[in-house]
Amino acid sequence: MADINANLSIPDVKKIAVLANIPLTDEEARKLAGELTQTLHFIEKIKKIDTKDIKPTSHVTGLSNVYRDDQISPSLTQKEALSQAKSTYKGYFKVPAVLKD
Amino acid sequence: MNNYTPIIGLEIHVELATKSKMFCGCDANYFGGKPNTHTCPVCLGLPGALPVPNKKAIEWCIRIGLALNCEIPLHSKFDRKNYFYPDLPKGYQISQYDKPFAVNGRLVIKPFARGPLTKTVRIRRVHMEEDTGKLIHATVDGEKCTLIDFNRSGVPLVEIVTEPDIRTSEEARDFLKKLHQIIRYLGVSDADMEKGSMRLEPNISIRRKSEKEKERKGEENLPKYKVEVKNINSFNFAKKAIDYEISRHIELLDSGETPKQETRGWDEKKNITYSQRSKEEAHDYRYFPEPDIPPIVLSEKEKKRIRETIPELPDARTERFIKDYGLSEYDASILIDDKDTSEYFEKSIQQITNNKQQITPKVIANWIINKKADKSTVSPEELIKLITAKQQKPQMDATDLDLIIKKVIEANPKAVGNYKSGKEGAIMYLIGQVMRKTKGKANASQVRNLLTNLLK
Repeated sequence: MADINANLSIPDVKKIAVLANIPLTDEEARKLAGELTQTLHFIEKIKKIDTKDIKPTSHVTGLSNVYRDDQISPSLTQKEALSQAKSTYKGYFKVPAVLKD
Repeated sequence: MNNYTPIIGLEIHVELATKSKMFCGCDANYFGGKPNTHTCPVCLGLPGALPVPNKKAIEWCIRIGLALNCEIPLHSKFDRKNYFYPDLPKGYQISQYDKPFAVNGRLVIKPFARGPLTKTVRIRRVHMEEDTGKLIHATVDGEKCTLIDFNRSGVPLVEIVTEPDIRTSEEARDFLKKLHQIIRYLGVSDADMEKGSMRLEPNISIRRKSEKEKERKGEENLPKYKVEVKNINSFNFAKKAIDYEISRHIELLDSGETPKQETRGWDEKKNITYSQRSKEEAHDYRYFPEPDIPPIVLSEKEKKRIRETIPELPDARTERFIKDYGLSEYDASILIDDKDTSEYFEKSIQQITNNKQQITPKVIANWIINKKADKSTVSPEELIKLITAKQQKPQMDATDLDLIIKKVIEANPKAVGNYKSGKEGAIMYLIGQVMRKTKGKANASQVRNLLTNLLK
């Protein structure tokens, strides 16, 4: 990843796009490199705020320990489960081969 | 081999035997079910579905951590592990990254077969995550494709990670067996390897030995690479895969190469490992806190309560069997190997105390160890009856038997004379007489011993 103060390069953007599984044209990559750099600069700005006395958190709701009991509730039928799928076969979801032999 | 030290760590996945899945109420018992009949918007990753963690699964994960002598941090949370593979409908797996439920544990293994030495394997972490869907690689209408069954998607999965403390494939197997035993005793999973409820992933590298390194220990000089072998479903395959990798690495290193850091699979037919997923991009899972699940905060009281749910574990049971029943370490270790067997043994013991019979724990242990009776069809009560019946002959009152033998000797001076003059066959006649008088209750070889003693 690029230095946070530098601009995000096009190869950086392309790498992120691969990880996010989003195909990008060269033009889009160029445009996003600019926009994401702006975002990074904005985060740089936020980082200047004094947070010395603020406890780190990963949530903002203030909730904790939200559980459910171990009880079975009805599932969808196979037909319902598959109803939104582009492609199915004999009760399975069908997708392009992930193994290339 | 002598110039190298193998460095082995293990990752073990255990599917928990909860009734429902990890983050939704779908039936977690998917085995043998029709495809995609145990799913809902949560475990199919449909937009807007909200995962809510299964309380029991979290407790069981902590129970495993405690049984492996881990520290249980009071603050914990779930994270998203992002990657694209169709076995994950959401595009990420809910897992735990920097705040797992259990850390810094250890497990001591004590392989009886190899002397009294023990070995401590440190446990790096025990964390909670969800299982993935099952992929079937198929050809439909002449075209290669992947079929997906999401019944397993979202089943509670515990991952146990050791430090790279293991040095031989035997140690790895001993560790895995011990861990399997503990999981079974904890009652949190059937840990059935064939069904895939327990899956093994050794990671292996080897390091050249030098005098200095022999003195130093630990992580400071771990090799620069490691090879992970994925999804092994038997202890022996794990051992074989490790052995295979060790010799493969030695060959490469001896010829001046460094083995490639990669993930490999185990081919159980050819007994080899093979490269997998090499086309895959560098791992960059971009973990971040799961925003849909608030953090988990435990109290000391809850930790204590979970600790109290841990039953007697194999080591403690072995010791107790030795102490209370006077068994040898060997016998005790065989009996406790399987939880059901050890319980069967104790139930049988209870039967003898109830019946006040002269059967020792050692005798029962022998019956069970030598599989003289099938415990799946013979109840502990029936087992004791069987043993009693078998023992009744030698258990005939010794003074009664002695009396009968003496009478037989008195009544048969001719046979006694023949025997004493060297006709050893004459003893058979005497034994026969005794057996007849005792109505077959005596044990023939015991009678023979008593007779020969008396006729000396």
